[in-house]
Formats: sequence, structure tokens, C-alpha cells
Amino acid sequence: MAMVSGAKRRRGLEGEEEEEDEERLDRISRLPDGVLGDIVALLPTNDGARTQVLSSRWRHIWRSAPLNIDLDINPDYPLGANNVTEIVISRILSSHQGPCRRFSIPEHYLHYRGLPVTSLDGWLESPALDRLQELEFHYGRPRLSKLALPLPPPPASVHRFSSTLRAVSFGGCGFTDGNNASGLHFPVLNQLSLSDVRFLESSLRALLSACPVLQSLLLMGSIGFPRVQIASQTLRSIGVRSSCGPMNLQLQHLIIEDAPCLERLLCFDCFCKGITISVISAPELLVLGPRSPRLQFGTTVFQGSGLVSLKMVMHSVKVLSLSEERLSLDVVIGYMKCFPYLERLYIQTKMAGEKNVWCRKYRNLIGTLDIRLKKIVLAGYRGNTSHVNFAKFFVLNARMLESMRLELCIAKPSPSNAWIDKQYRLLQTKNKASRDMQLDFASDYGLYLTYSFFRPEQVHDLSTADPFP
Amino acid sequence: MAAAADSSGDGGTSSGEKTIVLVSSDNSARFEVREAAALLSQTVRRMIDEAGADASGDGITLPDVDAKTLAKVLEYCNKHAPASSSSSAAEAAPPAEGEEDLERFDREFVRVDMGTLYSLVTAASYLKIEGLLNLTCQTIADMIKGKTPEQIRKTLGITSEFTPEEEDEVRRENAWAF
Repeated sequence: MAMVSGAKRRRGLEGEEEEEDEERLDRISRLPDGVLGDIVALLPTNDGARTQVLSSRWRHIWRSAPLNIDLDINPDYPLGANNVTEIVISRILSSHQGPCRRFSIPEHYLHYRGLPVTSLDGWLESPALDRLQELEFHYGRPRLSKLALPLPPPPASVHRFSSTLRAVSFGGCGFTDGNNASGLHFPVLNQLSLSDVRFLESSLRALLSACPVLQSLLLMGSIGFPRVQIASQTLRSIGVRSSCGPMNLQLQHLIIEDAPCLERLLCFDCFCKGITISVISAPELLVLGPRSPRLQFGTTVFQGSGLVSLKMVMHSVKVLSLSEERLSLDVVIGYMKCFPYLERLYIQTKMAGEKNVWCRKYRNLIGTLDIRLKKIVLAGYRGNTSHVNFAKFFVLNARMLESMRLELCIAKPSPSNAWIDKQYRLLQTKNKASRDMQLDFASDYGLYLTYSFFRPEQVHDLSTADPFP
Repeated sequence: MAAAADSSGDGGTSSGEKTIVLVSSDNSARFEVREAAALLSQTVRRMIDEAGADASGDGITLPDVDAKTLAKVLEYCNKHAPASSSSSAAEAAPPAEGEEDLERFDREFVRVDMGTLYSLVTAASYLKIEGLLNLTCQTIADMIKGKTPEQIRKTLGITSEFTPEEEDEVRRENAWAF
């Protein structure tokens, strides 16, 4: 013990008082069990289990705190879940005292371990998982040669958690009974993700009806039929993402028939495929994006990102994200005409971009269009003529703009001060329309809008109104 | 200056909004705060309910929170309190425009030395302020993630009384995690 305190003094940790005051050593262990349990419960399984060895005080905390079986292998944490074999999972489940809040198996786990899908049922039967609140599993995507075969059904034991599940992610299974004949019912479910699952058309609608308080829905990968129609009195957020696979099984058309609470609609489309989105009624829609080849709001149509027909205007949309390979001011102005109250604009671009010459073209427009934008983030900025013209339009005309952040194209080396100064000159920041506007350059991407960087939290985390940084 | 309309004896701001006086454990500091901010603490809420008609102008003493920590806790409460002090509004979410601001505030708020962080998590637990407890627990959890036990002990100042044999036993039992 003396060695530990000596080491602390040599290392000069933050907090002078702590180093000198003996009484403050190991204050954390004096916190009540409940609080230590709260901290440990926030850790992934491996980290949580390792806390047992910190001291005798900590030894029993992990065992009695709410358990997280979370095997998601996160590359940020090198001490990952590689050693968590099926035997270990069984042992944790049989020895743990506390309630298990979350059980999450990543996509490849069962497949790489050569485990049959029935292993999952075995674990889910464990009494340690009584009252489970979050379940996430993925049987794995079927190989191309086996695509014609039906997918295994979801584990039968999922019914055990009907009354407690708040979030569930089904992966790689098939709901082959029409109209939810297996009687799934989730009275407190808020979040539902369907990843590479297969449905009969009637099953999806029936499943959604079986979730009376559902708030967020994420559809990733094949569904089994090309059209999905959503009518929900409770859904606040919907996300879709296509994945590689045969076109006849892919979702091609998402129709929002009636969604009075819908605030967020996100579509992460694979560039080569396409999901058409038609919104018939979603009066509270706030956040939209970033990519879909054809977008309809009633009779207003965006096709290939260009505004084709403007009949209906959406007043509620305040946040728009766009993934545009070639940056085009025409396209963005089309969106702004449809969403006159737009406040935040997030754009991810990749290539050199359109010419974006605007002075003459939009001279009349500038007088009539009230640009209410407050925040603009442009990722993939190159500082070339195209991008400068684009950004300059907003610098000079967006009277309420508070912040513009230009995230530099990754291919560029770190910019010199001279380059940045030149940019400020080119963008004519001295003539900015909004007195309080701040213009910043960032050399790292904070904004990830592309298909491959999509994260489920962008759909499910409703704690903030704006899911983008 | 209009006095508060109720007769409980608590003070009022010049706008007539109800305030509550909170006193630190050593009686060295008294803080007058908006009711909405004070009610973020379930413990304070309970104390007020229990005090009821007997509430005097002396304020509520919090025996387990010292002055320095209480000041910092109230900084959090004032920032996170809803605009209105009615009890139903206390559960309503803050406006969207304030969210980024709150996130930035929270991030800066927990940039403190370990001693202060422990005082905050202890106070948040005692006062039952959910948001602050989550924030401080998550901050500490983030310090633990991905570290070896030796690194964790150094960062958090934990002393281990395990004998080498005992520590080996725990490691063996949980070999998969190491």
C-alpha cells in the first residue's frame, strides 16, 4: 500500500490536495455499493469483469450490479471480447446474482464460433436474464448460395422478455408466419431494429402493431418485399439502410402513410441501390437525410437530388443532412425552398463539385428567400472554386447564420495558416451577412454521413433533437 | 419588489419566483436557489414534503454536503433546471436549442480533479440528482474502460489489500476477461 501512494506522488496526478492528503486515498472505494454498481454497470462485459480484481471492496460489485453482456468488439478498446467463449457466457450467466439489463451478441459471433442458432435460446433461458431490457443478436447473413432457404425464426425464448424488453435488435432471422402468428407482443418496447431479417408482407405491419409504444424503428438490409408502409401513432424516428443482396429482396420503397409523431427520418443508402421515400403525412418531421435517390413529400418530388416539382412545403423540417458526391448549390437551394424553416444543414461531399456559380442566377432569389439557417457543417471541403462558391453563398446571404464549420477533405494534408487565411479572403468573410457568424476549419471529420459510418444511435438516441454533431 | 405569494416563508426573487435556501453540512454557506433547480434533487424534494407547513425561513440543511461541493452541485442544477418551476414542467425536456449548450456545459463541468469528481458523485447519489449521477458515473466509467487493473488503480487511487494468492484466484476464476 505504501508503494501505491509513493507512486502516486511521483507521478503527479491531477489535484494537489489528493496527493498530499492521505485521507483522500481510495475515496472512490468509499462510495456506496449502489453507486459503484452504477459505474460498473456502464462498462462492457470484459471491463466490468476485470473490476473484480481491483480490490476486495470491488470484488463483489460486478457480480451484484446489473449485468451487461455486451460482446460488441470495439476496436478502440484493445482488451476486447475475443476470449469470451460460449462456455464463458454460460458461466457468467449461471454465477451472476444481479439482474441482467442487456444481452448483446455481435453479428459474426455465432458464425465464427461455429455455434448453432439454438445456442442463443439456451442462454436466453438462463434465470440471470429474467427481466431483460435490451436484447441484440444477429444470426449472421446467409451466404449467397443459401439465399433461397428460409431464415431461422427468432429464438422462442424471446417471449420470456415480452413484458420487460425496451430495446431489441433482431438479426438474420425470418418472420415467416403471416400476421404475427407467433404472438410476439412487446408492451414496453421503445426501440426496434431489424437487421437482415425476412418478412412476409403482413408480418411487419402485425409486428409493429404488437409494439404499442414504439418510438424508433431501424430497418437494415433485406426485408423480403419491396414496399413498406408505415402508419404509427407513436413512432418518432425511422431509419433505413440498404445492404448488398439480391434486388428482389431489398426494400425499394418506404411509404410514410401516417406518422403524426415522426420527427426523424434517416435513409443511409448504398450508392448503387436506392430506396424511394414517400412521405404522405408526417407533420412534425424535424430531421431528414442524408441520401435517397427519390424523395417525395406529397406532390413535391426530389429525384436524383434535384428538385423536380415543388408543390408542397414542409414547415416543420429544421435539420437536413445530405450526402452529395458532387457539391451542388442548385440542389441545396432546391431543398431550402421546400424547407423554408431549415436551421441546420449538414453536408458530406466527396469530389470536386459542380461549378456553383450563383451571382447572376440567384440574384432575384436572394431578395425573396429568407435564409433561416443558423448552423452549417460541410465535410469534405477542398477549398477549390466549387466549394468556395458554395460556402460563399451562405457567408454573404445567410443573415441568421451563427456557425459554419468546414471539415477538410481527408486526402489533404494539414492546412497551413497561409492557406486558411486565403480561404477567409476567398470566402469574403469581411462581408458576412450575419454579424455573429463564426467560421471554423476542422482537419478531422466530426460528421459521418456515409453509408459505411452509419450508427444505430443516430436513429435510436432521441435524447437530443439533432442527431448530428 | 413583490413578495412571493405563498406563505411558507421561503424567499422570492424580484420576479416573484419561489426560491429555496440550502445550507451546507458545516453550516458555513447558505445558497438561495430557484425552486426548479433545487427540486432536481429528489432528496430535497422529499425533505420539503416532509417539512410541510413547518418550513421556516432557516433553509434546508444538507448534512452530507460541504460548501464547496454544494456550490458546484448547484451550478449544475441551475444550468439544468427547467424555465418554469411548476412540478410538471420539472420533468419536461429542455428546449432543443439549449441541448448543445448543455452538452458542452456537462463536458466542461466534469473536467475536475479526482477529489472533486468523487465529491460530486457522492453528493449526486445522496441528493438523488439523476442527471448529475449519470454524468459523473459515466465519466468514471470512461476512465475505467479499456484499462488494465493496474492502470485503473493508479487513475482512481484504489488501494488493493489482496494478497498475491487472492488476486491470482480472482484472475483465474475470470481468466477470459484478462
